[in-house]
Amino acid sequence: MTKRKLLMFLCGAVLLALPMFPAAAADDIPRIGFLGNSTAELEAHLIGPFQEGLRDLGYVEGQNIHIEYQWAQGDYSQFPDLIRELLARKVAVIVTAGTPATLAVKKATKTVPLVMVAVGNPVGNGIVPSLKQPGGNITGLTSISTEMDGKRLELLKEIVPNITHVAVLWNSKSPLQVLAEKKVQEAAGVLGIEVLSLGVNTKEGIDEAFNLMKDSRPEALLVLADRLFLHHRVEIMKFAAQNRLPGVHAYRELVETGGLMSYGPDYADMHRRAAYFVDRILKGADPAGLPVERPARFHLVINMTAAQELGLTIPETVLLRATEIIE
Amino acid sequence: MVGDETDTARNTTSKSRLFRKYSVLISTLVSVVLITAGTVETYFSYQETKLALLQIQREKAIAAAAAIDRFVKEIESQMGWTMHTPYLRVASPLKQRRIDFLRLLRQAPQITEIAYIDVHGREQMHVSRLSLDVVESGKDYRDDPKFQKTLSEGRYFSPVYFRHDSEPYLSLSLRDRGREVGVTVAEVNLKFVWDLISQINVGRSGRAFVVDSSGLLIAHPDISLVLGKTDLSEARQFTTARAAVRSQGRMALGSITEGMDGREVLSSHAAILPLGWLVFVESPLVEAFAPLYDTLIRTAMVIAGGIVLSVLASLLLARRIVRPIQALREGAGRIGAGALDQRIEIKTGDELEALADEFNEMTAKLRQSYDNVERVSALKRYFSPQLAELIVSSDEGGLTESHRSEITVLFCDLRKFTEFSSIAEPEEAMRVLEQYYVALGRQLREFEATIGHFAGDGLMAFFNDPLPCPDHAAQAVKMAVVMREDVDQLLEGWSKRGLDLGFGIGIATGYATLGHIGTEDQFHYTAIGSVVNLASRLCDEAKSGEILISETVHAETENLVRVELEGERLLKGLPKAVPILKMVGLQQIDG
Repeated sequence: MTKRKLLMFLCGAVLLALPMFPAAAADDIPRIGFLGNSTAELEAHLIGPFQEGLRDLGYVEGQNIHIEYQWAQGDYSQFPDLIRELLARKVAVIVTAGTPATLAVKKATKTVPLVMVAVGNPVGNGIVPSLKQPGGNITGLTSISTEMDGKRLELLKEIVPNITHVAVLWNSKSPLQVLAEKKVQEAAGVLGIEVLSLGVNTKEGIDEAFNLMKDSRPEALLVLADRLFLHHRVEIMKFAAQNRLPGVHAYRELVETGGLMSYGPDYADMHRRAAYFVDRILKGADPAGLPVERPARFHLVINMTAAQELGLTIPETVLLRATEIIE
Repeated sequence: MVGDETDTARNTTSKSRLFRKYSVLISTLVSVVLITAGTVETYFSYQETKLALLQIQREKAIAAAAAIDRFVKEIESQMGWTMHTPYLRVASPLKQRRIDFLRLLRQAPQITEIAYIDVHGREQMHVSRLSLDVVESGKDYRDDPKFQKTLSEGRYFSPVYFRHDSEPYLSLSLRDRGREVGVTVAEVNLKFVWDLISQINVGRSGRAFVVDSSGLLIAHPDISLVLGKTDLSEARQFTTARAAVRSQGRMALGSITEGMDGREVLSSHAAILPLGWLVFVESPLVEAFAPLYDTLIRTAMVIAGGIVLSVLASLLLARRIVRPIQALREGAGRIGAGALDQRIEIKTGDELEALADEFNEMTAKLRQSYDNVERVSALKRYFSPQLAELIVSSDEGGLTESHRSEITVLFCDLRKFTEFSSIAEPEEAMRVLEQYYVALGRQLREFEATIGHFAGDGLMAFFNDPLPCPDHAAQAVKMAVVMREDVDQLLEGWSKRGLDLGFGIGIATGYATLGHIGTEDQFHYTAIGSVVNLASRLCDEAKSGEILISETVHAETENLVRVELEGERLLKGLPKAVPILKMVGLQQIDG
């Protein structure tokens, strides 16, 4: 009698549990949280490679992964709310770009893995103790932007040999940019260039910077690598063109929007490579043991039309190194 | 019955013993063959697979080594292009060199930095992708092997070192040719080697990696192992490969060894000279041999299936062998139990059928001999044993049919027995008869007489039929004499007891008709005819102790007997008067 009762109880339990199963199946698909600095449209050329990278590794949106996008629209103060949103959706891994976003995620969670794409100086900013052994929950790719800012200035000097006064646009709220600005100052010192330091962090700040530049009349404008400037690239480049300001920037997007030149790693490629980290983490790898990768290839993009409009002749030593020339 | 039980038990065990023996034998044989074949096949398959896999892996390793070699040679040759500066007539050789270096950077993305050190060991030009270019720094390289070694040997590869804890690098320096002897040093980012290695596809979980001459891991799909400065100098995989390269060069095929993560792997390698690096291509044994394991399992299943089939077949075969033998045994048992009319039916068309036929023939012969024995014992009622045997072996037909033969008939009986038996005790009469017939029987047997019939004290016997007897008259006479002697002794004994009996014999010779007389079940073989009557009447006429013979008997036995004629008498049933010849004695006996 007791055996039968037990059997009936088990049957009942199974029947009750059955409705839960389909739901469980749906919950099984891992979720990836993407924290974007700008908007989907403005960063489409970076998201695309990221999605391609995932596809190449066999991930299909909706079938075996689900990507949640949260966009800050250029306002970094949104980060905490957006991150909370992602964490509430129980994402298995967060992907983001830029130092401010990475630091915001690092503050919000110590357990959910984070793949950082294009962070300028993760060790210098205390995000990871070392590139080879990141330790905590953060790994990804560094854009080594602080190492390259000096080089960019050097390139600028080669194009405009007599240059003495350069405006530098940087994000004062970003700890990376603080470091970067210092590096630029150092390099400028070596190259004999005076720096007009324009630290901003809002649209209004950028407008103010514009006014300052109109007043000071620098000979060139260097835009440092911060997603804020990517977000506002159209306005910034328009201003640079209008005011005949050449520049060697980090983002090629600025060159595509009318800037003169860019020298830096391939950010699209780094987004693509981020998929590899996501894959490893989803398959159970510990981010603490995945070394942070540095870029190995660097691209020099020159906008010849902009050069013409600025009345500049690009010297042979620079042309030699160009990896891409845009008309 | 206990005996039966043991028999049945013995029956079943011996049946299953033979059956078991054969089925075990056949299935064992087939199984051994299958297993042997399977094992041999598997062994050779294993060797072939191992060889094939090692070769494939070796090809991959060689290809990878060649690619890395090309990579390095490319850099060298491109660096070479920057060394023509001294030959160019330019205003500023330094500027020219910088341009050449920049061009090099454009064409060789693997080079991160390139520097020119003059003959005195001072750096003249330093161009970098990342840091600011430095012109005429004068940095002193005199003690640096990058300068020293290159100056002496012409080319120098530094040991692999790490930048930013994150990237493996190699310094490659070349010496100028010609008049101005300086050194060009390039810092090469080995991430490109890592790219190459990562792309090599080795099954599902196999991989390729590169180790430098000191055993340091310098490229591996899992870069963290490289950055962790993994040292493989003690690993068996590395030491074996290095030894193989030293001794066999390009011929080294590879081996099964312990891989980097401790698992058994199939490892092939190729050397990159002059760097002294080794490219390894390894795949886990489990994965590499997976198809072989599949084959093994398939073979095992086929063998298992084969064994099952062979067991079934052996059971069938054994049954086919054992059943006829079983039938034979049962048949023999039945025959032994006495059922002689049973036939053993085996139709296998082979020796067993022949054996069964032999058995049946034997049974038939047995039956025949039993029948004969019965017949003999039957005949022994009529004839002497020898006669009976003789009759049995000859054709029986002749006996049942009536026929004519010349015979000598002898009648004898006890005088006054009838009177005696009517007044005496039955037991006493029987005893007398018993003694009488014992005595008579002895002589009948001795002389091989055929008993016609006997009733009470009267006996009729004859000679020369069915057993031929040449001197049948003489035999009869001789027998009569001995009978008289024997019975005389009995008569003496009986008279002492007060029994007054006598004995008389009548013998006649002539033709008679002989055959079976009687009912269907019981019959006599006897004679009828005048000779019989004559003998009978003569016996009646004989007084106690007398033997009366007929004329014919006398004629036949003239030399043997002495007779006294007692005249002629007319006997009942006979037409003429018959001379009564009384035997007085045998001529041999009397003096």
